[in-house]
Amino acid sequence: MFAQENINEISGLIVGFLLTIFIYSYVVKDNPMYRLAVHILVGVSAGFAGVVVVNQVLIPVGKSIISQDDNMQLVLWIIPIILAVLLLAKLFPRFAWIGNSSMAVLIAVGSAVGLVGAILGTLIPQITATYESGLVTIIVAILTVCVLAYFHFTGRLTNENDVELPAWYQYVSLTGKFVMTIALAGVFAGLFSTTLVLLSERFGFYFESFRTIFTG
Amino acid sequence: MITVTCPNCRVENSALSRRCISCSSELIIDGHVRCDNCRALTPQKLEFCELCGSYLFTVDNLGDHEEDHSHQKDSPRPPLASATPSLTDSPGDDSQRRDVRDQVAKDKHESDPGQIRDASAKPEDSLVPGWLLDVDAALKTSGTADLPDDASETSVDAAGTGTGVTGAASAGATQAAQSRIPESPQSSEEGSESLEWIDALEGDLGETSAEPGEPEEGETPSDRDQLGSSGEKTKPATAPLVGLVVSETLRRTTQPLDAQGNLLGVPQQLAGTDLPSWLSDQLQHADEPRDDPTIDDIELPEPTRATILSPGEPEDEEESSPFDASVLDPSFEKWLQEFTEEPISPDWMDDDDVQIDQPSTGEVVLPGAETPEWLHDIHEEEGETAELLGITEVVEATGKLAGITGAIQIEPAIAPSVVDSPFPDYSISKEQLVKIALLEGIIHAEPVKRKRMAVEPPPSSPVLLRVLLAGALILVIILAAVIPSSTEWIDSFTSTGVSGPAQDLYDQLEDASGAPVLVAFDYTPAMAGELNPISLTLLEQLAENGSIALTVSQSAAGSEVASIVTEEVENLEWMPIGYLPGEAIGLRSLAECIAGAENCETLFGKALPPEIQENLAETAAVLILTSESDSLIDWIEQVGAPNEDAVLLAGVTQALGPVVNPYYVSDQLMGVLIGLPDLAAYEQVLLGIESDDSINISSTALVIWMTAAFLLAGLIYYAITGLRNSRSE
Repeated sequence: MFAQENINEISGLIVGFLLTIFIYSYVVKDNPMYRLAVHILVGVSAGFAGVVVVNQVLIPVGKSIISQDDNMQLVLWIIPIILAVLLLAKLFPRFAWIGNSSMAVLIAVGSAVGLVGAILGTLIPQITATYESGLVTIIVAILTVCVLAYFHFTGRLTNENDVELPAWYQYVSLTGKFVMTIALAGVFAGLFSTTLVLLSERFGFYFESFRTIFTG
Repeated sequence: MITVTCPNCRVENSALSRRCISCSSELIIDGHVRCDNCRALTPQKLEFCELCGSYLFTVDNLGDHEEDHSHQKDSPRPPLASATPSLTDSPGDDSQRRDVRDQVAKDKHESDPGQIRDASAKPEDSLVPGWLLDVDAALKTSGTADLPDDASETSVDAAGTGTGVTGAASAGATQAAQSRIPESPQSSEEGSESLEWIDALEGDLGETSAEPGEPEEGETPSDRDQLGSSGEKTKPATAPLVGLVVSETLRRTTQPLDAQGNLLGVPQQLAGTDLPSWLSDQLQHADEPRDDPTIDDIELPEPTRATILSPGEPEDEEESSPFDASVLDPSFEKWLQEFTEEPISPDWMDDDDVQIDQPSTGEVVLPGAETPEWLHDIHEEEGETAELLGITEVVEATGKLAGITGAIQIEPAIAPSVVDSPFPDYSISKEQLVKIALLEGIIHAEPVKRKRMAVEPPPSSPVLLRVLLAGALILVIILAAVIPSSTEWIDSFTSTGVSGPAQDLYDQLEDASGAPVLVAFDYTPAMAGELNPISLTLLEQLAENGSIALTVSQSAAGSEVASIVTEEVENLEWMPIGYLPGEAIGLRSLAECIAGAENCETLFGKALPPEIQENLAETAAVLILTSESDSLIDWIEQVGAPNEDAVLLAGVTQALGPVVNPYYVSDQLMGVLIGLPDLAAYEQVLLGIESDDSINISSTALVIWMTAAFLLAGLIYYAITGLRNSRSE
């Protein structure tokens, strides 16, 4: 038993280490081993998600429908079931038009929920919070406007067929460009830090694991 | 060149001609006629040419056909070169004979338009003498006929020598000729039939042409006096009988001379004239055997190869071409010389005014003719008109029309001169310029087709550099793991203080002690390296606080991660809700459950156990563990916004630090734990735990410091090189 667990652990460890090495080989260049590892990752993730959906969504929903005593509830289930079945037609290009109604429902409801959430959950609270923060908030607001001004690319057409913006607008755009550069740099730094952490964690794990295996 | 004098119009014709070029009368040479096809001499009696076998359309043949038509059926055409002349032979097509006969009559009419003939005239009104009609009637009844006394002086050459009496009656018709008339049964039959066609002609028969015999030397025709002083030869009035060969019977019975001894049908102008001596001699001695060599006496050469041989027959190599003069038969050559010798023309022909050119062999010489005066007058008038109009006549200098003025220039008519016109000046309009510019733009905008080549990655930094950097990173990590003391100096540069968000997180969790806490594991195993330590630490705090952890996940893999992580925490009471589909919509339904348990029997179609429903309704805080900004925002917007009392806490990766701060500032998030550095401080300061993650934190810090150094070095290097390049440009 212990040996079986050890074998399973060791084999899992080795496979994991190899896949890690395959992914890390992308440092040199794109190669088949890297692609193999990526394909395995995508495939396993998709398969696992399918299994989870079946076990934790479809089967419990089916059981709930079956065990439903209220006829009214059962009637209400007819519409979602019909829409779900029509959505399966999207798998066949010739009959894809059948699932357009289901897609319309999904997109409409999702858009409505997202819109409401964006307005009530992000815009209004953020604006309110900025209004109450004082000078720093004002500076932040100004810088936010400068960043938005950077994305305005229309202007006056000169005789030389060049687009010319007003001088003050060019300074505002330049400020927004500078702020945006710093913001993106911070995001990149955090992302880079996360990746380094993941790298160190992985190699540290394998190092410790192999050292434990070989040294006991 | 040998020429033949037309007996009718006295025009010299080529010996190779079949008919006179002037009056179209048939030219008979010693009883022979020329074949129209091969120009060979064929006996006049024959219907087909001896050489080529072509049909000879003659009046004699027409008469024979009329006579023998009742007896002859469709007889085959005699073979070539072996034709047996026979009067009984006749071609099978009667219509051709009629056509020829009509043509002859037409020619005769045209040649002498002055003489009016009435085709419908009765025989007695025609030129046929009455004695002839009597003879005809006698022949029909008794088969014999006596010629009248008037006809005694006439002579008919009917000896069968082949020399037909061509119209002009032979003087001194003998009794022998008369006796021969009734004895010949054939002739009797012919006579009856011939008279029929004579009746049909009715006046078309007139004078017969004179025998084209050669007059004696020195003798000039008496009718020469009838010629004009200019020596012009006028066509005798006997022209109507041009080419008309009288049948043999008619020759015997016809008395071409009238009672006065004049030729019948001779115009009055010449009626009283005497016959030329040579002609009268001819008629007198018509019955006498002639010593003149005839065509029968001459051995004709063998037919030419071209006319005998049928197509496809092999030629005999021994035979030579008849056109090869070096191998001509001597007899043929001698015969031909007779025709090539200069003809002996009578004295009356030797007129200085009449110049007859002696052309070269093969050419037909037309006697010169003078333009009549009336034509000259017209021409002068045209010349005057042309002078008035300024038209200058061009005198032809070359060709057949040399010396003649006023000739129509044919070259301009058939070959008009081509005037080279220069290309017209072209101009380009504005619209065309616009179109040209558009086309040029389209052409230049077209992508250039490139050859397929192996796909290669774009040029980037050298592989060795990348490998060295990657190796350095790994080395540092291993070094930190192997030699922990190597990272101690990093600790002096790292901050050990707890950040404000982390502190707030700690406080919120402490406030939620003993209450259910909804923990959302919205990250995949890929981010487990950074979020698992955070999750474990927070769950351990919940366990220590006695809080119930309700685990939920928006990703399928997150639910499994949640089960793995919660199992590692000891003494933790947790309830799995499981996978929550629908993203924002699912969170919205979950928010309703958080608001009140009475509306949370089912969650997205899945029935919830009652204890979960109760715990959801009593949720004190929502702990969001995620690495994705969308997931965090959805939680904030869908769960936090509808429930103002809900406490949202977040444990995120360091990459979400900039995303989380605005929501923390706006109090939408009550506490945030960002990355491992915050976790390390959180554990050490707040929890007082010295976990195993410190090694990772140290190595991570070392790697981050080293990476920062590399980035800084690269920044300096490329900045310097960029400035140099910009200056050099």
